[in-house]
Amino acid sequence: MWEKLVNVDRRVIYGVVFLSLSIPLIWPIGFEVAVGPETKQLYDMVNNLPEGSAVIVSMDTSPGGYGELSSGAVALLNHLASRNIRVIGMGFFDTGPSLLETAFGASDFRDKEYGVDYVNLGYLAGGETAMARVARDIVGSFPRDYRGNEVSELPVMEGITSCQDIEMIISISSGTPGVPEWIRQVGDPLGIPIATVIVAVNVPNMTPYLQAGQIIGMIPSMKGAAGYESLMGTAGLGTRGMDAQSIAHLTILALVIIGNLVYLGTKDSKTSKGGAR
Amino acid sequence: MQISTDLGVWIAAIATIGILSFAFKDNPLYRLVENVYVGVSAGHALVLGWINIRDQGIGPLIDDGDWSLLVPIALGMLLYTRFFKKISWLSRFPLAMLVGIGTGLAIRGTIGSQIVNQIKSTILPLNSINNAIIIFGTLGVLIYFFFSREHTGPLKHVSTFGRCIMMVSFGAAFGSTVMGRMALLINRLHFLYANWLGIIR
Repeated sequence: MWEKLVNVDRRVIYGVVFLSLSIPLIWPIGFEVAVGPETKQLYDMVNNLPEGSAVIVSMDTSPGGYGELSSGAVALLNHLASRNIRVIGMGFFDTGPSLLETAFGASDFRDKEYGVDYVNLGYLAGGETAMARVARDIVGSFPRDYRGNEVSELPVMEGITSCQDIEMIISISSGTPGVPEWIRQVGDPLGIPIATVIVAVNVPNMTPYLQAGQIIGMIPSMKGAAGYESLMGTAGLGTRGMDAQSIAHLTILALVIIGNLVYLGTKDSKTSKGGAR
Repeated sequence: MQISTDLGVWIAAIATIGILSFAFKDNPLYRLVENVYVGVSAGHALVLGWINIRDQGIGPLIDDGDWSLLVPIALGMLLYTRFFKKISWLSRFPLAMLVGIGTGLAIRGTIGSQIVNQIKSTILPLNSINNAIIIFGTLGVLIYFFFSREHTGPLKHVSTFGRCIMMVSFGAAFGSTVMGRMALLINRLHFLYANWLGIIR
Protein backbone atom coordinates (compact mmCIF):
# COMPACT_ATOMS: atom_id res chain seq x y z
CA MET A 1 0.00 0.00 0.00
CA TRP A 2 2.84 2.40 0.93
CA GLU A 3 4.47 1.88 -2.47
CA LYS A 4 1.22 2.78 -4.24
CA LEU A 5 0.91 5.95 -2.20
CA VAL A 6 4.55 6.90 -2.83
CA ASN A 7 4.01 6.63 -6.58
CA VAL A 8 0.66 8.43 -6.67
CA ASP A 9 0.38 10.73 -9.68
CA ARG A 10 0.78 14.42 -8.70
CA ARG A 11 -2.32 15.15 -10.81
CA VAL A 12 -4.41 13.17 -8.32
CA ILE A 13 -3.31 15.65 -5.61
CA TYR A 14 -4.11 18.59 -7.93
CA GLY A 15 -7.55 17.05 -8.51
CA VAL A 16 -8.22 16.67 -4.78
CA VAL A 17 -7.21 20.31 -4.11
CA PHE A 18 -9.31 21.45 -7.09
CA LEU A 19 -12.38 19.66 -5.70
CA SER A 20 -11.74 20.95 -2.19
CA LEU A 21 -11.87 24.49 -3.60
CA SER A 22 -14.70 24.03 -6.10
CA ILE A 23 -17.29 22.25 -3.95
CA PRO A 24 -17.45 24.89 -1.15
CA LEU A 25 -17.48 27.66 -3.79
CA ILE A 26 -20.55 26.15 -5.47
CA TRP A 27 -22.22 24.96 -2.26
CA PRO A 28 -21.08 27.35 0.52
CA ILE A 29 -20.86 26.04 4.07
CA GLY A 30 -20.95 29.38 5.92
CA PHE A 31 -17.97 29.11 8.28
CA GLU A 32 -17.69 31.96 10.74
CA VAL A 33 -15.21 34.67 9.73
CA ALA A 34 -12.68 35.81 12.34
CA VAL A 35 -11.60 39.47 12.12
CA GLY A 36 -7.92 40.15 12.76
CA PRO A 37 -6.94 43.17 14.94
CA GLU A 38 -4.96 44.70 12.06
CA THR A 39 -8.08 44.64 9.86
CA LYS A 40 -10.25 46.10 12.62
CA GLN A 41 -7.69 48.90 13.11
CA LEU A 42 -7.94 49.88 9.43
CA TYR A 43 -11.73 49.70 9.51
CA ASP A 44 -11.83 52.03 12.54
CA MET A 45 -9.34 54.39 10.93
CA VAL A 46 -11.49 54.72 7.78
CA ASN A 47 -14.58 55.18 9.95
CA ASN A 48 -12.89 58.08 11.74
CA LEU A 49 -11.84 59.91 8.56
CA PRO A 50 -13.68 63.21 8.11
CA GLU A 51 -16.25 63.17 5.30
CA GLY A 52 -14.84 64.71 2.12
CA SER A 53 -11.21 64.11 3.12
CA ALA A 54 -8.83 62.53 0.64
CA VAL A 55 -6.83 59.31 0.66
CA ILE A 56 -4.33 57.94 -1.83
CA VAL A 57 -4.98 54.42 -3.11
CA SER A 58 -1.83 53.18 -4.77
CA MET A 59 -2.24 50.05 -6.88
CA ASP A 60 1.24 48.61 -6.44
CA THR A 61 0.60 45.23 -7.99
CA SER A 62 0.52 43.27 -11.23
CA PRO A 63 -2.32 41.08 -12.53
CA GLY A 64 -0.68 38.08 -10.82
CA GLY A 65 -1.08 39.70 -7.40
CA TYR A 66 -4.39 41.40 -8.10
CA GLY A 67 -6.21 38.07 -8.20
CA GLU A 68 -5.44 37.70 -4.51
CA LEU A 69 -5.96 41.36 -3.59
CA SER A 70 -9.13 42.21 -5.52
CA SER A 71 -11.56 41.14 -2.79
CA GLY A 72 -9.79 43.26 -0.15
CA ALA A 73 -9.38 46.23 -2.51
CA VAL A 74 -13.06 46.22 -3.46
CA ALA A 75 -14.21 45.88 0.18
CA LEU A 76 -12.02 48.83 1.20
CA LEU A 77 -13.13 50.98 -1.77
CA ASN A 78 -16.76 50.23 -0.89
CA HIS A 79 -16.14 51.45 2.64
CA LEU A 80 -14.43 54.63 1.39
CA ALA A 81 -17.33 55.24 -1.02
CA SER A 82 -19.90 54.82 1.76
CA ARG A 83 -18.02 57.35 3.90
CA ASN A 84 -17.79 59.86 0.99
CA ILE A 85 -14.01 59.91 1.11
CA ARG A 86 -12.24 61.25 -1.98
CA VAL A 87 -9.93 58.66 -3.53
CA ILE A 88 -6.78 59.73 -5.38
CA GLY A 89 -5.69 56.61 -7.27
CA MET A 90 -2.26 56.00 -8.77
CA GLY A 91 0.16 53.19 -9.54
CA PHE A 92 3.90 52.58 -9.47
CA PHE A 93 3.58 49.29 -11.37
CA ASP A 94 2.84 49.88 -15.05
CA THR A 95 -0.20 47.60 -14.78
CA GLY A 96 -1.43 49.31 -11.59
CA PRO A 97 -3.70 52.01 -13.11
CA SER A 98 -5.59 49.58 -15.38
CA LEU A 99 -6.15 47.29 -12.39
CA LEU A 100 -7.31 50.31 -10.41
CA GLU A 101 -9.90 51.00 -13.12
CA THR A 102 -11.08 47.40 -12.70
CA ALA A 103 -11.30 47.84 -8.92
CA PHE A 104 -13.24 51.13 -9.23
CA GLY A 105 -15.62 49.43 -11.68
CA ALA A 106 -16.20 46.51 -9.30
CA SER A 107 -16.77 48.76 -6.26
CA ASP A 108 -19.44 51.29 -5.31
CA PHE A 109 -17.32 54.01 -6.92
CA ARG A 110 -18.89 53.00 -10.25
CA ASP A 111 -21.95 54.97 -9.07
CA LYS A 112 -19.85 57.99 -8.02
CA GLU A 113 -18.69 60.80 -10.28
CA TYR A 114 -15.23 60.48 -11.82
CA GLY A 115 -13.11 63.57 -11.25
CA VAL A 116 -15.30 64.70 -8.36
CA ASP A 117 -15.32 61.74 -5.97
CA TYR A 118 -12.38 59.78 -7.32
CA VAL A 119 -9.61 59.93 -9.87
CA ASN A 120 -7.09 57.57 -11.40
CA LEU A 121 -3.90 59.58 -11.89
CA GLY A 122 -2.17 56.78 -13.78
CA TYR A 123 1.33 55.37 -13.73
CA LEU A 124 4.52 57.14 -12.76
CA ALA A 125 7.83 55.48 -13.64
CA GLY A 126 10.72 55.52 -11.19
CA GLY A 127 9.57 53.40 -8.25
CA GLU A 128 10.75 54.76 -4.92
CA THR A 129 12.19 57.93 -6.50
CA ALA A 130 8.79 58.64 -8.05
CA MET A 131 7.12 58.17 -4.65
CA ALA A 132 9.49 60.75 -3.16
CA ARG A 133 8.39 63.19 -5.87
CA VAL A 134 4.69 62.49 -5.27
CA ALA A 135 5.25 63.23 -1.59
CA ARG A 136 6.21 66.81 -2.52
CA ASP A 137 4.01 67.50 -5.54
CA ILE A 138 1.09 65.34 -6.65
CA VAL A 139 -0.27 67.50 -9.50
CA GLY A 140 3.21 68.18 -10.89
CA SER A 141 3.95 64.45 -10.87
CA PHE A 142 0.75 63.64 -12.74
CA PRO A 143 -0.10 66.53 -15.12
CA ARG A 144 -2.73 64.35 -16.83
CA ASP A 145 -4.76 61.50 -15.36
CA TYR A 146 -5.20 57.96 -16.73
CA ARG A 147 -8.15 59.12 -18.84
CA GLY A 148 -6.28 62.09 -20.30
CA ASN A 149 -7.84 64.91 -18.22
CA GLU A 150 -5.83 67.86 -16.89
CA VAL A 151 -5.38 66.90 -13.22
CA SER A 152 -5.20 70.52 -11.97
CA GLU A 153 -8.72 71.14 -13.33
CA LEU A 154 -10.39 68.19 -11.57
CA PRO A 155 -12.61 69.11 -8.58
CA VAL A 156 -11.43 66.01 -6.69
CA MET A 157 -7.95 67.59 -6.45
CA GLU A 158 -9.21 70.76 -4.78
CA GLY A 159 -6.94 71.67 -1.86
CA ILE A 160 -4.49 68.88 -2.65
CA THR A 161 -0.95 69.70 -3.67
CA SER A 162 1.27 67.28 -1.77
CA CYS A 163 0.94 64.23 0.46
CA GLN A 164 0.64 66.62 3.44
CA ASP A 165 -2.96 67.22 2.29
CA ILE A 166 -3.77 63.50 2.36
CA GLU A 167 -5.30 61.75 5.38
CA MET A 168 -4.00 58.27 4.62
CA ILE A 169 -2.12 56.25 2.01
CA ILE A 170 -3.36 52.77 1.14
CA SER A 171 -0.99 50.60 -0.84
CA ILE A 172 -2.61 47.62 -2.55
CA SER A 173 0.64 45.81 -2.68
CA SER A 174 2.26 42.63 -3.91
CA GLY A 175 5.87 43.65 -4.39
CA THR A 176 8.41 46.42 -4.91
CA PRO A 177 7.81 49.36 -4.94
CA GLY A 178 5.20 48.93 -2.24
CA VAL A 179 4.69 49.40 1.47
CA PRO A 180 8.34 49.75 2.68
CA GLU A 181 8.96 52.41 0.01
CA TRP A 182 5.83 54.35 1.02
CA ILE A 183 6.95 54.16 4.66
CA ARG A 184 10.48 55.34 3.82
CA GLN A 185 9.48 58.23 1.56
CA VAL A 186 6.14 59.41 2.94
CA GLY A 187 4.93 57.59 6.06
CA ASP A 188 7.84 58.20 8.42
CA PRO A 189 9.23 61.52 7.07
CA LEU A 190 5.82 63.25 6.79
CA GLY A 191 3.87 61.33 9.45
CA ILE A 192 1.14 60.24 7.02
CA PRO A 193 -0.63 57.02 8.13
CA ILE A 194 0.04 54.07 5.83
CA ALA A 195 -2.29 51.09 5.43
CA THR A 196 -2.12 48.16 3.08
CA VAL A 197 -4.09 45.46 1.33
CA ILE A 198 -1.39 42.85 0.97
CA VAL A 199 -0.69 39.42 -0.49
CA ALA A 200 -0.42 36.66 2.11
CA VAL A 201 3.20 35.84 1.29
CA ASN A 202 4.24 39.35 2.40
CA VAL A 203 2.27 39.37 5.66
CA PRO A 204 5.17 38.11 7.85
CA ASN A 205 7.41 40.83 6.34
CA MET A 206 4.87 43.55 7.10
CA THR A 207 4.13 42.49 10.69
CA PRO A 208 7.19 44.30 12.18
CA TYR A 209 5.99 47.57 10.58
CA LEU A 210 2.53 47.00 12.02
CA GLN A 211 3.95 46.29 15.47
CA ALA A 212 6.11 49.44 15.23
CA GLY A 213 3.10 51.55 14.25
CA GLN A 214 4.56 52.37 10.83
CA ILE A 215 1.49 50.71 9.29
CA ILE A 216 -1.81 51.57 10.93
CA GLY A 217 -3.83 48.69 9.49
CA MET A 218 -3.74 45.83 7.05
CA ILE A 219 -6.06 43.62 5.00
CA PRO A 220 -4.08 40.42 4.55
CA SER A 221 -5.17 38.56 1.41
CA MET A 222 -8.64 36.99 1.12
CA LYS A 223 -8.81 36.26 4.86
CA GLY A 224 -8.51 39.97 5.64
CA ALA A 225 -11.06 40.80 2.94
CA ALA A 226 -13.56 38.41 4.53
CA GLY A 227 -12.95 40.07 7.91
CA TYR A 228 -13.41 43.54 6.44
CA GLU A 229 -16.63 42.48 4.70
CA SER A 230 -17.89 41.04 7.97
CA LEU A 231 -17.18 44.37 9.75
CA MET A 232 -19.15 46.16 7.03
CA GLY A 233 -21.97 43.62 7.24
CA THR A 234 -21.66 42.61 3.59
CA ALA A 235 -20.68 39.34 1.90
CA GLY A 236 -18.39 39.71 -1.12
CA LEU A 237 -15.84 37.45 -2.72
CA GLY A 238 -13.76 37.39 0.48
CA THR A 239 -16.57 35.86 2.54
CA ARG A 240 -17.59 33.43 -0.23
CA GLY A 241 -13.98 32.40 -0.77
CA MET A 242 -13.23 31.67 2.89
CA ASP A 243 -15.23 28.43 2.93
CA ALA A 244 -13.18 27.17 0.00
CA GLN A 245 -9.98 28.44 1.60
CA SER A 246 -10.68 26.69 4.92
CA ILE A 247 -11.53 23.37 3.25
CA ALA A 248 -8.46 23.63 1.01
CA HIS A 249 -6.25 24.26 4.05
CA LEU A 250 -7.69 21.21 5.82
CA THR A 251 -7.09 19.16 2.66
CA ILE A 252 -3.47 20.34 2.42
CA LEU A 253 -2.99 19.61 6.12
CA ALA A 254 -4.34 16.07 5.57
CA LEU A 255 -2.06 15.64 2.55
CA VAL A 256 0.99 16.78 4.58
CA ILE A 257 0.11 14.27 7.34
CA ILE A 258 -0.48 11.45 4.81
CA GLY A 259 2.80 12.34 3.06
CA ASN A 260 4.72 12.08 6.34
CA LEU A 261 3.03 8.81 7.29
CA VAL A 262 3.89 7.39 3.85
CA TYR A 263 7.48 8.54 4.28
CA LEU A 264 7.71 6.88 7.71
CA GLY A 265 5.97 3.73 6.41
CA THR A 266 8.32 3.31 3.45
CA LYS A 267 11.33 4.12 5.64
CA ASP A 268 10.37 1.31 8.09
CA SER A 269 9.74 -1.23 5.32
CA LYS A 270 13.08 -0.44 3.64
CA THR A 271 14.92 -0.64 6.97
CA SER A 272 13.32 -4.02 7.76
CA LYS A 273 14.53 -5.30 4.37
CA GLY A 274 18.03 -4.26 5.35
CA GLY A 275 18.32 -1.25 3.14
CA ALA A 276 18.34 1.86 5.24
CA ARG A 277 18.02 5.04 3.17
CA MET B 1 -27.00 28.51 -15.02
CA GLN B 2 -26.45 31.25 -17.56
CA ILE B 3 -23.29 31.11 -19.65
CA SER B 4 -21.78 34.51 -20.45
CA THR B 5 -22.21 35.93 -23.94
CA ASP B 6 -19.42 38.50 -23.40
CA LEU B 7 -16.48 37.88 -25.76
CA GLY B 8 -14.03 39.34 -23.24
CA VAL B 9 -15.20 36.91 -20.54
CA TRP B 10 -14.81 34.00 -22.97
CA ILE B 11 -11.25 35.04 -23.87
CA ALA B 12 -10.37 35.41 -20.16
CA ALA B 13 -11.98 32.04 -19.37
CA ILE B 14 -10.12 30.21 -22.16
CA ALA B 15 -6.86 31.90 -21.08
CA THR B 16 -7.47 30.85 -17.46
CA ILE B 17 -8.17 27.24 -18.46
CA GLY B 18 -5.13 27.33 -20.76
CA ILE B 19 -2.81 28.39 -17.92
CA LEU B 20 -4.36 25.96 -15.41
CA SER B 21 -4.06 23.10 -17.94
CA PHE B 22 -0.28 23.15 -17.39
CA ALA B 23 -0.91 21.39 -14.06
CA PHE B 24 -2.13 18.42 -16.11
CA LYS B 25 0.42 18.51 -18.89
CA ASP B 26 2.35 20.97 -21.07
CA ASN B 27 0.21 21.66 -24.13
CA PRO B 28 -0.12 24.06 -27.11
CA LEU B 29 -2.97 26.07 -25.52
CA TYR B 30 -0.83 26.74 -22.42
CA ARG B 31 2.12 27.88 -24.56
CA LEU B 32 -0.13 30.09 -26.69
CA VAL B 33 -1.66 31.80 -23.65
CA GLU B 34 1.75 32.17 -22.00
CA ASN B 35 3.21 33.83 -25.11
CA VAL B 36 0.20 36.10 -25.50
CA TYR B 37 0.56 37.16 -21.84
CA VAL B 38 4.25 37.98 -22.27
CA GLY B 39 3.54 39.90 -25.47
CA VAL B 40 0.63 41.87 -24.03
CA SER B 41 2.62 42.71 -20.88
CA ALA B 42 5.59 43.95 -22.93
CA GLY B 43 3.31 46.01 -25.22
CA HIS B 44 1.45 47.48 -22.25
CA ALA B 45 4.70 48.44 -20.50
CA LEU B 46 6.00 50.06 -23.71
CA VAL B 47 2.86 52.18 -24.18
CA LEU B 48 2.80 53.24 -20.51
CA GLY B 49 6.51 54.12 -20.72
CA TRP B 50 5.88 56.27 -23.80
CA ILE B 51 2.94 58.04 -22.08
CA ASN B 52 5.28 58.85 -19.17
CA ILE B 53 7.91 60.32 -21.50
CA ARG B 54 5.22 62.27 -23.38
CA ASP B 55 3.51 63.69 -20.28
CA GLN B 56 6.60 64.31 -18.17
CA GLY B 57 9.15 65.27 -20.82
CA ILE B 58 8.27 65.98 -24.44
CA GLY B 59 4.84 67.52 -23.73
CA PRO B 60 5.98 70.20 -21.24
CA LEU B 61 9.12 70.83 -23.34
CA ILE B 62 7.17 71.65 -26.52
CA ASP B 63 3.90 73.02 -25.10
CA ASP B 64 5.26 75.02 -22.15
CA GLY B 65 8.78 75.67 -23.46
CA ASP B 66 10.36 74.17 -20.36
CA TRP B 67 13.89 73.82 -21.80
CA SER B 68 15.32 72.46 -18.54
CA LEU B 69 13.70 69.15 -19.48
CA LEU B 70 16.27 68.76 -22.26
CA VAL B 71 18.76 67.63 -19.59
CA PRO B 72 16.81 64.53 -18.36
CA ILE B 73 15.70 63.74 -21.94
CA ALA B 74 19.30 63.85 -23.15
CA LEU B 75 20.43 61.71 -20.21
CA GLY B 76 17.64 59.23 -20.97
CA MET B 77 18.69 59.02 -24.60
CA LEU B 78 22.29 58.40 -23.55
CA LEU B 79 21.11 55.11 -22.01
CA TYR B 80 20.59 53.79 -25.54
CA THR B 81 24.21 54.37 -26.50
CA ARG B 82 24.94 50.98 -24.95
CA PHE B 83 23.70 49.46 -28.21
CA PHE B 84 26.62 51.09 -30.06
CA LYS B 85 29.93 49.61 -29.03
CA LYS B 86 32.12 52.69 -29.72
CA ILE B 87 30.07 55.10 -27.62
CA SER B 88 28.56 52.65 -25.15
CA TRP B 89 30.61 54.23 -22.33
CA LEU B 90 28.29 57.26 -22.47
CA SER B 91 25.44 55.17 -21.01
CA ARG B 92 27.38 55.00 -17.73
CA PHE B 93 26.61 58.66 -16.89
CA PRO B 94 22.79 58.39 -16.72
CA LEU B 95 23.11 54.97 -15.12
CA ALA B 96 25.40 56.40 -12.43
CA MET B 97 22.86 59.14 -11.77
CA LEU B 98 20.01 56.62 -11.51
CA VAL B 99 21.96 54.42 -9.11
CA GLY B 100 23.23 57.37 -7.07
CA ILE B 101 19.86 59.09 -6.64
CA GLY B 102 18.04 55.81 -6.01
CA THR B 103 20.57 54.65 -3.43
CA GLY B 104 20.68 58.03 -1.70
CA LEU B 105 16.90 58.17 -1.35
CA ALA B 106 16.67 54.57 -0.17
CA ILE B 107 19.48 54.92 2.42
CA ARG B 108 18.01 58.15 3.81
CA GLY B 109 14.71 56.37 4.42
CA THR B 110 16.16 53.02 5.44
CA ILE B 111 18.18 54.36 8.37
CA GLY B 112 15.16 56.05 9.94
CA SER B 113 12.36 53.65 9.02
CA GLN B 114 13.99 50.27 8.97
CA ILE B 115 16.78 50.58 11.51
CA VAL B 116 16.03 53.28 14.10
CA ASN B 117 12.24 52.88 14.24
CA GLN B 118 12.46 49.09 14.19
CA ILE B 119 14.96 49.07 17.06
CA LYS B 120 12.76 51.52 18.98
CA SER B 121 9.78 49.21 18.55
CA THR B 122 11.66 46.36 20.26
CA ILE B 123 12.31 48.44 23.40
CA LEU B 124 9.26 47.25 25.31
CA PRO B 125 8.26 46.60 28.94
CA LEU B 126 8.47 42.95 29.92
CA ASN B 127 4.83 42.81 30.98
CA SER B 128 3.36 40.38 28.48
CA ILE B 129 4.28 37.15 26.69
CA ASN B 130 4.12 38.92 23.32
CA ASN B 131 6.63 41.55 24.42
CA ALA B 132 8.92 38.88 25.87
CA ILE B 133 8.85 36.94 22.58
CA ILE B 134 9.64 40.12 20.61
CA ILE B 135 12.56 41.12 22.89
CA PHE B 136 14.15 37.70 23.38
CA GLY B 137 13.33 36.58 19.85
CA THR B 138 15.10 39.63 18.37
CA LEU B 139 18.12 39.11 20.62
CA GLY B 140 18.23 35.38 19.86
CA VAL B 141 18.16 35.91 16.10
CA LEU B 142 20.82 38.62 16.29
CA ILE B 143 23.04 36.30 18.35
CA TYR B 144 22.48 33.51 15.77
CA PHE B 145 24.06 35.79 13.15
CA PHE B 146 26.91 36.84 15.46
CA PHE B 147 29.89 34.99 13.99
CA SER B 148 32.79 36.70 15.79
CA ARG B 149 32.76 34.14 18.56
CA GLU B 150 32.18 30.37 18.57
CA HIS B 151 28.65 29.44 19.65
CA THR B 152 29.47 27.45 22.79
CA GLY B 153 28.14 27.59 26.35
CA PRO B 154 25.29 30.08 26.99
CA LEU B 155 25.78 31.58 23.51
CA LYS B 156 24.85 28.21 22.00
CA HIS B 157 21.51 28.11 23.83
CA VAL B 158 20.63 31.69 22.88
CA SER B 159 21.61 31.00 19.27
CA THR B 160 19.48 27.81 19.23
CA PHE B 161 16.55 29.82 20.58
CA GLY B 162 17.11 32.35 17.76
CA ARG B 163 17.09 29.53 15.21
CA CYS B 164 13.79 28.22 16.63
CA ILE B 165 12.26 31.70 16.33
CA MET B 166 13.38 31.88 12.69
CA MET B 167 11.88 28.44 12.00
CA VAL B 168 8.54 29.64 13.38
CA SER B 169 8.85 32.65 11.08
CA PHE B 170 9.62 30.44 8.05
CA GLY B 171 6.63 28.25 8.93
CA ALA B 172 4.38 31.31 9.10
CA ALA B 173 5.75 32.49 5.75
CA PHE B 174 5.12 29.07 4.17
CA GLY B 175 1.60 28.90 5.60
CA SER B 176 0.90 32.41 4.31
CA THR B 177 2.22 31.46 0.89
CA VAL B 178 -0.14 28.46 0.71
CA MET B 179 -3.01 30.73 1.79
CA GLY B 180 -2.10 33.26 -0.90
CA ARG B 181 -1.86 30.69 -3.68
CA MET B 182 -5.23 29.21 -2.69
CA ALA B 183 -6.77 32.70 -2.70
CA LEU B 184 -5.45 33.22 -6.24
CA LEU B 185 -6.97 29.94 -7.41
CA ILE B 186 -10.26 30.71 -5.65
CA ASN B 187 -10.40 34.04 -7.49
CA ARG B 188 -9.96 32.35 -10.87
CA LEU B 189 -12.40 29.53 -10.06
CA HIS B 190 -14.94 32.10 -8.90
CA PHE B 191 -14.49 33.92 -12.21
CA LEU B 192 -15.07 30.68 -14.15
CA TYR B 193 -18.12 29.60 -12.13
CA ALA B 194 -19.72 33.03 -11.68
CA ASN B 195 -18.74 35.26 -14.61
CA TRP B 196 -18.32 32.63 -17.30
CA LEU B 197 -20.55 29.64 -16.54
CA GLY B 198 -23.00 31.49 -14.31
CA ILE B 199 -23.50 28.56 -11.97
CA ILE B 200 -22.93 30.71 -8.86
CA ARG B 201 -23.84 34.31 -8.14
